Amino acid sequence: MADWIILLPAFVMMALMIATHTYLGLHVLARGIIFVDLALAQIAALGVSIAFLFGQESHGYESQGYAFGATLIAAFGFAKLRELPNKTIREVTIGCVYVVATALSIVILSRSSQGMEELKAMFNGNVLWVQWHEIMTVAIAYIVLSLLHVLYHKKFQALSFSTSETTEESIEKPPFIWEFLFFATFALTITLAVNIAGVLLVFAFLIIPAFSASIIVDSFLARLLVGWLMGILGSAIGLWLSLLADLPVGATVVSVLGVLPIIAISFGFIKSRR
Amino acid sequence: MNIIVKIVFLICLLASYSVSATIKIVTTTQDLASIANIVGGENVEVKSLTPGTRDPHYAEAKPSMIRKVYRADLLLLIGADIEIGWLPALLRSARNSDVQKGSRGYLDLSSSIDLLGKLKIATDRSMGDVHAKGNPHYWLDPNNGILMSQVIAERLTELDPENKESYRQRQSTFENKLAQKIVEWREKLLPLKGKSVVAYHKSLTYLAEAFDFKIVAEVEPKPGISPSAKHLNKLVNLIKEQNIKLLILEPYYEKRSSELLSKKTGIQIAVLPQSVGAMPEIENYFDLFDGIVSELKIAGNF
Repeated sequence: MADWIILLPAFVMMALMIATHTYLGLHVLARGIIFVDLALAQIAALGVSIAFLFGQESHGYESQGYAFGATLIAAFGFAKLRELPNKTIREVTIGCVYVVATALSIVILSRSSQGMEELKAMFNGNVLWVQWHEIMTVAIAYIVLSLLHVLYHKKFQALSFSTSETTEESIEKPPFIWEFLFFATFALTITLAVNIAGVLLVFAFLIIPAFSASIIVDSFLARLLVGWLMGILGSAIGLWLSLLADLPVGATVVSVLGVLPIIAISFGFIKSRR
Repeated sequence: MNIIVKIVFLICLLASYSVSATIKIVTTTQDLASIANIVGGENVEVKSLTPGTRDPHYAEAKPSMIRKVYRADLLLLIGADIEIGWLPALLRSARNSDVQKGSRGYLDLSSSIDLLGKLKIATDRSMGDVHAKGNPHYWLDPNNGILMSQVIAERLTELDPENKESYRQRQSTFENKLAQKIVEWREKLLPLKGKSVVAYHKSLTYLAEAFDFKIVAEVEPKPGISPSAKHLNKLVNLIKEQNIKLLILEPYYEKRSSELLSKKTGIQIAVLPQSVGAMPEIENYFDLFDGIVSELKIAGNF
């Protein structure tokens, strides 16, 4: 078997993740609620833990349902966050949700050894084992979500890019239902990805390409495109390295992605000196 | 996309047929690899998916695993659900129809062995890491090693009838040597006969069965679950009451609970290689028991 064939499903899955996660990452960065994605991913994991407690198979549709249900509840809560006046309080709330969700997963799964293994798997993920039919499901869901965001991009843009305290009065904020819709689509995107690729990779894809691109370019569209390019490049190099040195795929890709912000910062430094 | 993938697969498949006549065996553990190597000799090429240093319940997903399974003519597995966490996904990803469940290239060794601890009632996850099909750590009874070599030789003969005689010969050499060694090992472990021992995990039952000692308690309250303070306290009392002298565990388990028990009761800890490759000097199935026996002798002080 040609070696690249082994990695093709993993690469396609990661490309899908980069496409959606970089976009969401830019929103999250603009809102200054970076850890909301980590919290949501962890809540998806908590949902799977609860499904496990009730005897569901960890990768079945039922447990996916539990995960989505849990993140939906959290999404509602996070959508309410904008009513909090203080940015620090928002971050603290998100932080609390993250730690408590993690702790609850550990408590729930402590009674079952396979459960603890599940917890590790949810963190590390096994993107290498992804099947084409799983990729199809994810792809269809992501296309639908993307259409929604493209169609109503004005509403979603207004949500994220007018919430900073300074511009509060200048642009009218869309009603609460849009805020909820934003977090719900966010939740669905993450739930699907966490189940296959693990929290580690999901968080890396949400933050690293978006952040690196934001250092280099300024407009939303340019950041999105540069982010995609960097993400795809980083993933391809990571996959190739994992094949070459026979390393675990997800963790290798994340390690390579870690270089992106460094490159971006040096690039930005050169640009500012000129 | 899918069609391109399939075409490339077909090309690779055709290429792999023309390469060589040796049978490519891939095994889930190094113990299986060692026995297959001895029985297959120069007619086979054996690769193990997991190293002996790791717990075979868990395996990290690495690209090389897919490659190995894809190229294999024969897959040997321990079975009894020990690989359930990773092998099914790996087999799906590797798409090698020769070694899928039910085909001749798929050999689950557990089906030829009378497993200990088979459950008659259905299990649920609250019972911990229990294997409903029976305890899968059967390679730790060297008598089962003989059975395993017989089954492997049989399957190799089926796949490669031309070399029937050499498989038969090597298998019988292995069987004779192992039978001889078993007598020797049992003699060395005579002082342990009938003695009570504490084990960390429920995995050493076969060893106790083979060498006539009793495992009266496990450090884990349920298989796969780390001990709580309450459980450790109970163990301290039990060890003192029954005057148990030996605690045995595999190298990959945490040692802090065992060390705590040792400190409180003076019980001796023996870290036993559980697999070929668990320690660098354990290179084959014979070394495995040589290693176990010498560790037991040192810790048991006999």
